[in-house]
Amino acid sequence: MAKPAPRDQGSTTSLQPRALLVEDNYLSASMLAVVLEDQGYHVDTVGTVREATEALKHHDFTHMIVDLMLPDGAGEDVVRAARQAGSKAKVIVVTGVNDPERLRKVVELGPQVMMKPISGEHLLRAMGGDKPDAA
Amino acid sequence: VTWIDSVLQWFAGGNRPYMTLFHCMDSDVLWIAITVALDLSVAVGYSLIALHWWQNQRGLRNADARRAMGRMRNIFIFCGLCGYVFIPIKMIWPAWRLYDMFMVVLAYQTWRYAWNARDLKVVYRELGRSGELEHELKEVRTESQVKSDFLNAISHDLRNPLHGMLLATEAAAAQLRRGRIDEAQAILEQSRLAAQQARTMLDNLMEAARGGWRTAIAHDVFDAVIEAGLIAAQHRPLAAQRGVTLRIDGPVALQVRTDRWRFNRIVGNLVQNAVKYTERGEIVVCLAPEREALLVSVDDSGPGIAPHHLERIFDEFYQVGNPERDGSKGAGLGLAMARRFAVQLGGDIEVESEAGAGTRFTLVLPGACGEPGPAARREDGDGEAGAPRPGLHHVTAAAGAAG
Repeated sequence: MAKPAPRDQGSTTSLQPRALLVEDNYLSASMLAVVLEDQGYHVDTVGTVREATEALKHHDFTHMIVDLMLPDGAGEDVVRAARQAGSKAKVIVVTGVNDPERLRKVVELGPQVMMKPISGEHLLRAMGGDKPDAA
Repeated sequence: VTWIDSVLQWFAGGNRPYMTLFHCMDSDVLWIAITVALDLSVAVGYSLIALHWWQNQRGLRNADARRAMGRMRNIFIFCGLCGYVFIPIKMIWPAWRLYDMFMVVLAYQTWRYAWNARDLKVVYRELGRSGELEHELKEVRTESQVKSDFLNAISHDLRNPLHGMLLATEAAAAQLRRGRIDEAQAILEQSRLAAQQARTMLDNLMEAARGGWRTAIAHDVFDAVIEAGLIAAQHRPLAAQRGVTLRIDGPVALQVRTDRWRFNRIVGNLVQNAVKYTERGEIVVCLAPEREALLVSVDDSGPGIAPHHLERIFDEFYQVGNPERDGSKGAGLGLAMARRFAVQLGGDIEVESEAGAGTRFTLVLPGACGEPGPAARREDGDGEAGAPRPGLHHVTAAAGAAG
């Protein structure tokens, strides 16, 4: 039985991986947060580019999961902002965009691209499989 | 040289005296007759060509073809005018017989031209047709672009609820593993909403596939009030669930002539949209004839639409944000389709909205109320006329009572 992950938003230990989830679709975001938290991640969920940039200023993230179609801009901007902020987070772009040209450009930026719909299991594997729970 | 002199003199009528008034030789009857006949035949030939142009060139749809034909016509007129240069020459040297010989050639060529112009008709027609085909091709291209954009958009839009559902099953499983039944239940409920959203999208897609690109417009004659009543009856249960009243306003009966299927889709989508966004108050569907146009407005007391969203709400491919990001509010295709149908019927949909006060969509269908009344309606029995009224009245009454 896995030990329950600390769900208290305030108390993040340096050992706990922290993920920034940039997704404007409420259902996808909340469900993915549940799945990730279940695996011991501390999850910050934001829905816009502006909020994501703000979050990057205040916290260090080990992982970022970014949607491309955001209400106030593109997920690419978030990826660039993370690079600029010197973030070492592993970035995974999860999107429903099926424009190969755009996706190619995203890949050139560095992150791994995964197409929606994707299961939490696949995503966790892509995130590195380091399950803090299992430790 | 004497023989040249005699030839020149023969062309000019020999030793007959030249008559300035008629520009011919005294009593050279044979040659006068020949000249008149040739002049007439050339004139008739010219008229035929002119008539031919008038009939065919005007009808040409292709602008390039029309220009090309216009140029040919101008050249022809110029040549004709040049022919009359002979007249002053005759005054200096009245070589009447020589002139007639040229006229033979001219008459021959004119008639040959007039005769061949009949074949030109084929060319005209083909040129016109190529214009039409070009136009058609452009339309087909646009249509296929619309279709592929639409498919791209719907596949993009469908990914979101599917993605959410997939994650929701895992999230629910995770919560159940930890014994959190209530959380799991809440997640499953969310998942159900996402499934419904996906279903709405698929319904819209099916609808678009069935009728969105249907080109034939029917001219059904029916009572718009009855039709609107039927539509309202369909949506009243859901509205009632939210405590929203849905009513019809306007005349008791309003005979219109338009595509019934499209009318149903447009008004249905507008009402559906209003029901979706209105949490309290009422929705009023108001029908009114304005001169020959039919106005159908759907008023709601919903949250209204922010001005910067207003211009994008008919956007076909991307759902303009429902601000609270409520996934259950559908895919955002209904309005796009409603407008598309309205435009196909020669009309449009207008929208006015005030944040916090509500939104009014107005469908304008020009010419739909052009029929003067029941008498005209009977004349209009072209097989596509509306269903018998008494039966429908029953249905409306029943549906109204049920709602």
